[in-house]
Parts: sequence; C-alpha cells; structure tokens
Amino acid sequence: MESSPNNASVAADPSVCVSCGGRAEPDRSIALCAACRARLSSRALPVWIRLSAIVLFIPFLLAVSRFPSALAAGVAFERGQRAEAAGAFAVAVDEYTKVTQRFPSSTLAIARKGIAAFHAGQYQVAAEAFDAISGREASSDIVREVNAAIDQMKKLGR
Amino acid sequence: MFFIPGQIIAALTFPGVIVHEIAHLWFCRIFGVAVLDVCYFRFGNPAGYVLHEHPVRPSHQIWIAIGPFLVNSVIGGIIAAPASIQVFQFEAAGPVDFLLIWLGVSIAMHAFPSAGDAKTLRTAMSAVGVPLRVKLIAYPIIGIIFLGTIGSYVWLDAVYGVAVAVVGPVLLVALLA
Repeated sequence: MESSPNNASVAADPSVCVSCGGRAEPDRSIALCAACRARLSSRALPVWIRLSAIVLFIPFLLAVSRFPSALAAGVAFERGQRAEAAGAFAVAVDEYTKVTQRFPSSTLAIARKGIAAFHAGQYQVAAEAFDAISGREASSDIVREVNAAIDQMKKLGR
Repeated sequence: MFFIPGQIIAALTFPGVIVHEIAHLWFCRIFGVAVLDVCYFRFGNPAGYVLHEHPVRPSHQIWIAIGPFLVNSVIGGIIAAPASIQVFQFEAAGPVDFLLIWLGVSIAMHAFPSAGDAKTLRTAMSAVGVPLRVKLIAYPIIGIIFLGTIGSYVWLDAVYGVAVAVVGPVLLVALLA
C-alpha cells in the first residue's frame, strides 16, 4: 500500500494541459489545467468502495453509540476491583452493580459482585448474584472463589 | 516467529487496506493534488496504491504519506474500543464484539505507511528548495516508516493494530477509573 507521485514527463509543452489541451497551471509536476486538476484530485469513489464505506459506517456508528456505556461500565468494573482489593466491599458491590445493570451477560461482573457482597455481609445480594450465574461458564479461579463463598454462606446458615 | 504471505494477511484484513488508500486519496483531495490512478484493493503487492502528482508544497507530501496513519488509527481505535472494553475488561462478549475487534484491528494494523510512502517522501524532501524545517520534520518520519516496514516482518503492524484496538481502550479505562 503506498502513494506514489508520477514522475513521468507526460507533456511536451508544460503550458498545455495533457488532459484537455487547455492552459496548464504553472510550476506543477504534471501539466494540467485547474479544472482537470480539480477533477482528478476529487475523483469520485467507485460504487463498490461507496458501498464498502456504507458497510463500514454501520459498525462505526454502532461503536460510537456503544462507547459511552462500555466506558462507564469498564470504569465501574475497574473501580470495583480496586475497592475490593482495598477491602471496601460495599463500595465494590455498588460499582459492580453499575456494570451488571448495563451488561447482565457479564458472568465475571456478576460473580465479582456476589463475592464482594458476601465479604460485605450482604448475603441476600450475594445469593441472588450466585443464582444468576448458576450453570454459566467461568474461569476456574472465579468458580473456586464463588464456591468458597457459597460454602461459607452455608456454614453461616445464610 | 512464523511467516504468512502478505497477500493472505492483506486479504484477511482488507478493510484496513481500503481505508488506507481512501486516506491517501482524501489527503490528495484536501491539497488539490491530481490523482492519476487508484487501486483500493487487489491480491498483489502492494495490495493497494494511489498514484498522484507531486504536491506543490513538500509539507503536503508529508500529510499525504502519514494520512493513513492518522485515519486508520482513529477509525480502528473507535470501532474496536467498546467491544474491547466489554471483552477484555469484564467479559461481556457477543459475536458482534468479536466482529468489531477484528474490524478495528484490521484497520489499525494498516495504519503504518509503506516503504513506498517513505521512498516517495524521501524523494520529495531531496528536491531543491525544500525548507530545512520541513526536512527536520520529514526525515524522522521517513526513518520511523522504514523501521515500521522492517518491524512488519516481526508482526509490528499487527502488534500496533492490537495496541490501538485492544490495549488502548483498556488503558483508557484504567486511567479514568
């Protein structure tokens, strides 16, 4: 992929437009009149490229429309993880809730919310979260953490 | 390190090639540079090209050469960003997300100007009357483009595409949190 200037000397008389025979613009590498240069510099895109651009514009619009929500959820998830690491489990539950409200399909966010809720003593919230992801696939680390929390809750009679 | 022919990579990431050539064309249009021939995509080397006249001002040649770097990086990053955050941050992935990530990486990995772009720029800078300040800007760019071309043999273009489309959005989240 590249852009290359044409070095060929295409005009015997540099004052004559090689395209239409009109008066060429001075001091240019190719002798073209203003109208022909304007036509060639703003050449129309082929139909298949226009269609491709339209096809590309759809995911572009989709991405732009989804970006605020994804960014907000991503920030909330990151804050939740930081709060969890700092032992602020109630804060973590609130942050993870922001994620799960926007993306209820996120098994990881729901699991982390349940684990954080368990540590915050919000056993009802934890139980609801664990019920919601029951039967879903998750990483072995998350499964281990969730199972440990469920075992602890059973021991506590919750 | 494994080798995959460039034509196969270009075919798998063809949206990036098309956007790259449109970006060259767009900058030619901005500066009123006559375009003599365009190939938006083909199964060959190069996968696409824009043949144009020499711009009047050398600085215009710089913009025409690096135009795809700006356009492909921005468009690729925007298209992939929400999907990358969902998939890699909190694992809320659907088929559309993987499609957007492929599209974003494909476009961003073709952001690098080619060796042909660098040679064109070098030729333009070696012409008589090019101001020193323009050369001071252009020659480091030429060097970076050549390094990028060499780096593409070890997948630097793909690494850049992933960095823009995947790592960038995740880093943005970490910064804002």
